[in-house]
Amino acid sequence: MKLVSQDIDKNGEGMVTLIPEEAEDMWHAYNLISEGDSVRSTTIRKVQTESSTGSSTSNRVRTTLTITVESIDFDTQACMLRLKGRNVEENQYVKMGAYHTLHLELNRKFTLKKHEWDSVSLERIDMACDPTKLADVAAVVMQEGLAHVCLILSSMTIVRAKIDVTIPRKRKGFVQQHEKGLVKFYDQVMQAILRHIDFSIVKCVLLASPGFVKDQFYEHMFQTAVKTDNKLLLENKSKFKLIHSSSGFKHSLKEVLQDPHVINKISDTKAAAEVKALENFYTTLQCEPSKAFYGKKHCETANAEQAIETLLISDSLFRSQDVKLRKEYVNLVDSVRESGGDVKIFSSLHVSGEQLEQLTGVAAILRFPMPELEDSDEENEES
Amino acid sequence: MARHRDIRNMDYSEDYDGYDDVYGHSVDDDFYISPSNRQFLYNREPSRSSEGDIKEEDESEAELSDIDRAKLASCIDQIKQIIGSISISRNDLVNIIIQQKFDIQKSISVIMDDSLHSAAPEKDNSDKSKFTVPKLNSGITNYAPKFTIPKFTIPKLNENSHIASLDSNKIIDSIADKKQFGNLSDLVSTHLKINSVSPPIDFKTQLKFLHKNKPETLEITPKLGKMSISESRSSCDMPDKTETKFQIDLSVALKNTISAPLISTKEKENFQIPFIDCEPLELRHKKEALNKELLCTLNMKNVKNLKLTSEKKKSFFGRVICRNYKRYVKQIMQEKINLNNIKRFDFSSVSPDIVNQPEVVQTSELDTATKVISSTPKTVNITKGFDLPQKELKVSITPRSQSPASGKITPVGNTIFDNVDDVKTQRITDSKFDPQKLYQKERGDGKEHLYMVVIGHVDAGKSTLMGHLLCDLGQVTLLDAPGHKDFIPNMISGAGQADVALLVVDANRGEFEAGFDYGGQTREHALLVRSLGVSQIAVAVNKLDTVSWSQERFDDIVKKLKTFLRQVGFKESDVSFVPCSGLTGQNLIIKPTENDLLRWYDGPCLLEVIDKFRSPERPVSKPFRLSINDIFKGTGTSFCVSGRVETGTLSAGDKVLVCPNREYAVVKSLAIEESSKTIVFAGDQVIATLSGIEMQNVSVGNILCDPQRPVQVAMKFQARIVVFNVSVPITKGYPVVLHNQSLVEPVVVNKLISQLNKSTGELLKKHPRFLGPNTSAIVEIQISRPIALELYSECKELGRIMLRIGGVTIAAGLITQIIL
Repeated sequence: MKLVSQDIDKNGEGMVTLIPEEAEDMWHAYNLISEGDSVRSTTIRKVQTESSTGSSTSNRVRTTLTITVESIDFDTQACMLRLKGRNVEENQYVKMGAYHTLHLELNRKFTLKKHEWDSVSLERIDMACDPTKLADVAAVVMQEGLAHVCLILSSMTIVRAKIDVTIPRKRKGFVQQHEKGLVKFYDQVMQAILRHIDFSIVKCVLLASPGFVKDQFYEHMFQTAVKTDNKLLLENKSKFKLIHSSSGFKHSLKEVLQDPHVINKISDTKAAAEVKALENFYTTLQCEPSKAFYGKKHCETANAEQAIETLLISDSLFRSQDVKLRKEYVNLVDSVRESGGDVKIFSSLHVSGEQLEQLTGVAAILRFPMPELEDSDEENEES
Repeated sequence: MARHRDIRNMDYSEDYDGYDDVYGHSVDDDFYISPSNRQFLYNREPSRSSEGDIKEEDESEAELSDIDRAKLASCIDQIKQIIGSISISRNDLVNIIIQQKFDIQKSISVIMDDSLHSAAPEKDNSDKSKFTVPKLNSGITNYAPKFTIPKFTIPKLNENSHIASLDSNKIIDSIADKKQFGNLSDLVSTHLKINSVSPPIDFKTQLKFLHKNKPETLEITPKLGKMSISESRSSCDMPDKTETKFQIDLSVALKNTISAPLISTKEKENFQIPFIDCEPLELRHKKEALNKELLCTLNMKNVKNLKLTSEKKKSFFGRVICRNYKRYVKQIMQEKINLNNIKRFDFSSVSPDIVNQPEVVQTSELDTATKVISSTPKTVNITKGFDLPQKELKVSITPRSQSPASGKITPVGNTIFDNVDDVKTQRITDSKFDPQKLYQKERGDGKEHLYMVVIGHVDAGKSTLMGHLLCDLGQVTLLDAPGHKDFIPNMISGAGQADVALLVVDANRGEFEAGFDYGGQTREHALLVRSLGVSQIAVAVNKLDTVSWSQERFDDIVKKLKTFLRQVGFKESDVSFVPCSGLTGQNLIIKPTENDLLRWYDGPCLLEVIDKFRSPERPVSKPFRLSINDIFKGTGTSFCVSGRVETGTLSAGDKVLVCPNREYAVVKSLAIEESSKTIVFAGDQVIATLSGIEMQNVSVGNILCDPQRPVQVAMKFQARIVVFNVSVPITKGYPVVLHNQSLVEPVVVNKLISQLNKSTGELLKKHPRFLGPNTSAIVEIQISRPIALELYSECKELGRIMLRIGGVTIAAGLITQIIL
């Protein structure tokens, strides 16, 4: 993302002009824009005109519109962002108050105007515009009959392909069927890798599986590559890394990202950092239950005591449509920072973020135990 | 569109004013209705004239007081319970009851006496509630010519069906709470005995039944219904071959029964469901075939109505009798035996219907009777094709039945059974008695199959031990589970099919400890097999030769394992320890020869211990369930699934439901270890060839089940879990892998509902924040897509779950509640 201009007054009101450059930037934009903001961007609109004779013609014109956002749709697979709202600046084609849906496009600038820019949003802009682009990693988690081909970007994990086939088991007199099924499965995974992984961007492909599936697959893939003279694969052979995972389900990515070899390679991706932070939280919960809490109420109480050392919070909470609620979370983040705590905003598109989201979306590791919180929790939960 | 102003501004609604009148409603014509919609259309034509008839009947009660009316109602109910709707109209019944001052005993004896003295005329009387010969005849003769147009046929048939349903309705009433037969029913049975004039078939055996069993009167009506059908047949001389196309008629029958006002909603549902299958064919054929097949239609319809009632409580024997009866009727038609005779036979065969004792079956129909059962399920799937294998049918035909058509007529009745949803109830009664019986019969003689899983830490010597054992023995079915932790999922699906387990531990110093202490597979495996429902375990203390058969070492291991296994939940009596050596074969299949061992050990050898395993009880009478653990191509176009029959029985030809997709499939053939079977029972490892379903639509972990009593499908459930020794606590939102039989599915622990005391099960804490190691709790689990589940209380086999993450089993549990 490119920041073109920023004009925010001391009250936090103002506008920012940005140019999204890649798919992931749409995700940032999605997290930035909330309902009630106004967005100005170029768009295509179908305009109907009636001539004096009464005949009407409709044609598509490219025009620049400003709308107040009423609803936001984000397609994670295609990384498309759709903003629906009413026009607030009349022009020759579109009347005031007419509805229009903006599609934010790559490499076309848009201006976002907010009544209040909070710290979380500003941080998001900084993060999105960080030019030190992190390594893009692809991962294939697989087990016999199941594979997920994923792209791990710095703030999102996208499952590009899921391959789920049944492979007959080995049985007396039916071994060929098993082998055939296996080969077919490997071929499908290989096709998915070729189709979805852009080796010019991706620096590393992690092949993870339990047992020997990954080894067999690796072997099969390069044998086939040699046979079919697939230069692309052969050239990038060094990018493949074999890692152990316990299953081929998506949440096994967590294990993959915890693997020491992987951490070395991609240590600065957000994904790995998030996994580690969440892991820390769970360990604390196990060892010192009175130092780890989750849920908004607990975290707020702990924060009031300035007890929070690390706050884990999911970005989905900031997309809340309830402005008040969003503000409460922003305040929590600000106040933790003020008291010297560390705040980790999890991307809800990562596996760890998904898990945190299930875990109420907010969790905290405390500086000191607060057993009184534990006692109070029964009443809280019941009420 | 034209650009001219006039055209653009034209008011279309004006021009099309009349449009709606002509085209606004669909043409209500049977010819053009899509077959699949047919059943949803309301039939506007029929005059439901018979409604009046029913009301009239009730009028005699009008002058009764409220209390009397209540008494009357209860009397009628009870009498119906006892004698069914034997042969008396409600009017007469009311009169008799009033005469006898609401005394049930007396009323019944009056009724029975009446029916005794005037058995034949009584039945020929055109009782309104009864499906009688004259009426039917007149119906046919009058309306037959007009049947070229379907519209006509339906209302007319309706009247008849209505009468039939009226009848059946009564019986349903009586069935509803038919639970006990008192003296009165005995009274009935004696009456019947006296009454019964020996019919040519099976009378002796039937008498036996009379002695042995209480009569179940509800069987009477169906017989009457069928009887009158046969009468009408004979009177009209309809050719038998029409029977073959009866499928067509079912739709008519269906329609009629639905429109018949008296049938309760419950029944309607029953009717509709099974018919969907055969619908499309029916209607197409219907038009041209209807003319010829009017009579048949009538038959089917009536039979169906009556069947509906009869099936509610019909034992398989009832069906046998029905067939007998049909055969008999056939004979009668040929031999032109008079009607009275039939009736008497009918009466006498009433009581045998409830016979359920196996011995009786054998005496009566000999082996045919039992075969019939196995053939009945086969007809389930035949609703579509109708090319019934002749072989199956012949099973139920005794040499006596001379009619060439009997081969056809038998399936007719059968298919109706299957079409009407009564199979459900029929099966219920069936399964109460038959599967057990069958199981005894099929498997009683031979040795019972027992599935044993061999478990143990990596390199404990499982495969060596078993290899040696097998080598010495010849052949045994063996499920060898890998010890490495990556393969535990495989082991789970293997162990899920086992009845008993053999735990192999390495007696080597250090090795045993490595496998047993935290992180070793010995513990996890033992825990797993116990959680998977294996209750008997033998422990082979292997490689004892390497510690020179030291008793001390053996005792040490035994002591440690005993405590552990008890904790895990094995009963002391179900655990046995055997010292052995897999490599040398010492104490495997013969008593030890090694002196060092003989000095202190005189117990059984491994083989004896294995032989001593009790075979667990096979839940054959529960609804059928099979968890698919492998899918592969068979010969030809079909494909095979393999898995263990968890509960119930399955026969070749059965229709099964594949859950959670809820798709129907037909079992073409069955095999246990390459030997083909016609019926398999709970506990068997089965390879079933399926047809009628795409291979892609079946996946490992799907459940095959009885379509009538399907397994539940849900995305959320509550479970009581025991958390093992976990390094990371379980919190809300914790992603885990769920294992349930052969199903492996990623799930999320959605809610922690309550934490329980591990041993007593009492509530410790509501909504705990997390579940640490060695706790017990109730949790809610969310699955990302629907899966087939069963409550533990209903099906132990499918109600067990296992939660794993990162290659470690973190919890095992039981499904306590399914949230739809």
